[in-house]
Amino acid sequence: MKRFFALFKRDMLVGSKNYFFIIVMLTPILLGLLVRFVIPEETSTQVQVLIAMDEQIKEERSDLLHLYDGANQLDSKSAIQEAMKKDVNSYGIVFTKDNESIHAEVIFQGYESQKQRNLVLQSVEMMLNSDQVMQVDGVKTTELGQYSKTTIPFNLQLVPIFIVMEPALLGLFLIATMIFSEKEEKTILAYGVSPGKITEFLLSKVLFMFLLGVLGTFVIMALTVGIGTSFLKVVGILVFANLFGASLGLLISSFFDSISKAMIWVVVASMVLSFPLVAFMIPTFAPAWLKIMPTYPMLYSINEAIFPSGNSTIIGSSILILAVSGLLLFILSVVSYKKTLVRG
Amino acid sequence: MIQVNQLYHSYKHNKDYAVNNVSFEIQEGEIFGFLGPSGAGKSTTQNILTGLLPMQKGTINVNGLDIKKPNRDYFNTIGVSFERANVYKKLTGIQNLEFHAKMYDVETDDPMKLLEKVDLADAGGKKASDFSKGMLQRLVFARSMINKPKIWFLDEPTSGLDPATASRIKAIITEKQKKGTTIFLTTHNMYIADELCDRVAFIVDGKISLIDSPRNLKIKYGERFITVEYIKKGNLMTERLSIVEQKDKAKLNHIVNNYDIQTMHTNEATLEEIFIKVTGRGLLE
Ligand SMILES: Nc1ncnc2c1ncn2[C@@H]1O[C@H](COP(=O)(O)OP(=O)(O)OP(=O)(O)O)[C@@H](O)[C@H]1O
Ligand SMILES: [Mg+2]
Repeated sequence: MKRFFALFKRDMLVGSKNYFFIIVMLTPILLGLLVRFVIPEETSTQVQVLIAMDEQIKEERSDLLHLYDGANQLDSKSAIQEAMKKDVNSYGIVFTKDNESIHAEVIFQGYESQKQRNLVLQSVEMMLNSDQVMQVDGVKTTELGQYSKTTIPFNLQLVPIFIVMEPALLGLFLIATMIFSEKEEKTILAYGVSPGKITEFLLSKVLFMFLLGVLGTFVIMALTVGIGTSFLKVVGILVFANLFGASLGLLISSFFDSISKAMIWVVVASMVLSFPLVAFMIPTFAPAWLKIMPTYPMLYSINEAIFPSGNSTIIGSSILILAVSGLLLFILSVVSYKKTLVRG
Repeated sequence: MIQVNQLYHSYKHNKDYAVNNVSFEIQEGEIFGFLGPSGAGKSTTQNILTGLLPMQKGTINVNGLDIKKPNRDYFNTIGVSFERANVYKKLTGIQNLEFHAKMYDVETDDPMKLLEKVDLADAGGKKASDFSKGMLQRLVFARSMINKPKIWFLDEPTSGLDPATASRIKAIITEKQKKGTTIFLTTHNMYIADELCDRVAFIVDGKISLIDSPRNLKIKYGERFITVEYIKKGNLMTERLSIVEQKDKAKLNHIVNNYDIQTMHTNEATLEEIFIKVTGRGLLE
């Protein structure tokens, strides 16, 4: 314990003087400010309106058709739903008639904010009421149900992504630079002839990464969604997310004798690991192979911790995935370092 | 104390041996020198002895225990000084020592006292990145004795130090020996070997060609030499010649007969001359 504490203290002293440390510490502040002041609460992309109308309405209410001039006309409700699945930035309106009333049903994707929804609903109502000849029977809304981020403002939706980038991806870089400074300065050899074990040596660095991850997450959350019980849940996930990210950095570093060679692979790994972040942003892009990457459950569980949707099993299962893969990578790196201690 | 038997090591895992069938024995309390030119395999041997390199072939016995896989007890009893000053540049001298001391399960020396010993007391609070090369080397030297080692491995402990500092280091080494420490000293400096070592091994190309005490070596190979200064075409020339070797005797004869002799001295053979004679190689190539 005395030894581990000394190792950890050394990592804090040495690590905090690493130029990379400054980047790792400034990034969360930057990301937090970005979310807070730069990224809008709503994205304003061109929204496509899809409509379907009974033949009878088309004849009787040709004015409605004119009002929806720019809209894309389709044949049926199911055709609209199919089209909506292919275009995230679309919503649909189905006009039907029975007896003397016209019914309108607005189909949303599910992620639209209440403000957006109200605007659409109001406009539909206004259009229907422009002619008093027919009775209007209110407007019904349904959701496509493909994804349901409901009413989380766009800027805050990015918070889980930034948290994943902090402990998992930046930790990967920082631990690699720390390992290479030990390799290049050959300080690892002085440790190698002391009674200290490689496991303790590596674990202390992983713990340091975790601490930085918690600090970074605290900064991001404090600046955006606020610190509450969700912070503790996120930290719980972070323990394992960080174990995974840091161990991957350790393992990659163990195969190379210079940082420039290793960095290529660290960058490649972090790029591959960020694919799930893209899937998170563009829900229509979610191939199955993305889901096997640990950053996928990492992202969705952190999202669940911050914005609970009642699907809390995802947190448990993702902790399990991260713990198993992280532990495996850590054990592999211990084995690898034992073999390659003095090489190079 | 230490028995090394038929030790081999190849970095490429083939027949290209950096250490080739090396055997030697170190007595308790002895300073055993490994003398050889650059690339001879000195550091490789030391790294195997200190557990930094895996043992590929051969045996090493320390106090009767086979140390194929050295354990904690072994690391607690050894101290290792490295050829290259490997300290944390971002920590101060004292922080470096304090950190290293905490790695041991045995009683350790006070970092400040050690710094005083190697004349770094004033610089102890400075970051190691501000240390000069010689200061870094003294820091590594001080660090290597922090756990009061019973077996002390020193890789080129005085290379690059000024004469005054070097003799300070040499004094510490002799003092430790008097207290019973067994010392394995690696060097390509014949003066150090001559001055400090009870016995030296000559090593070239991974092979030991001879092991003996400097004194015995001088008696055995201790032919005398003549240093002669003479004028040749207006220039002062110096020549060092054996008075035993046929070739040298002929040369001396030639000089005496043809040139104007200025001075002529006889001296003892140096360890380096003996090294060249035994191994056919110089120490500084
Ligand atoms: N890490 C390594 N990988 C491959 N070959 C190595 C390695 N270290 C040393 N060698 C080779 O092994 C041989 C012995 O090297 P070693 O460092 O043991 O010599 P040395 O006697 O300590 O030399 P010096 O006086 O320069 O320190 C040399 O030919 C060297 O090139
Ligand atoms: Mg060497």
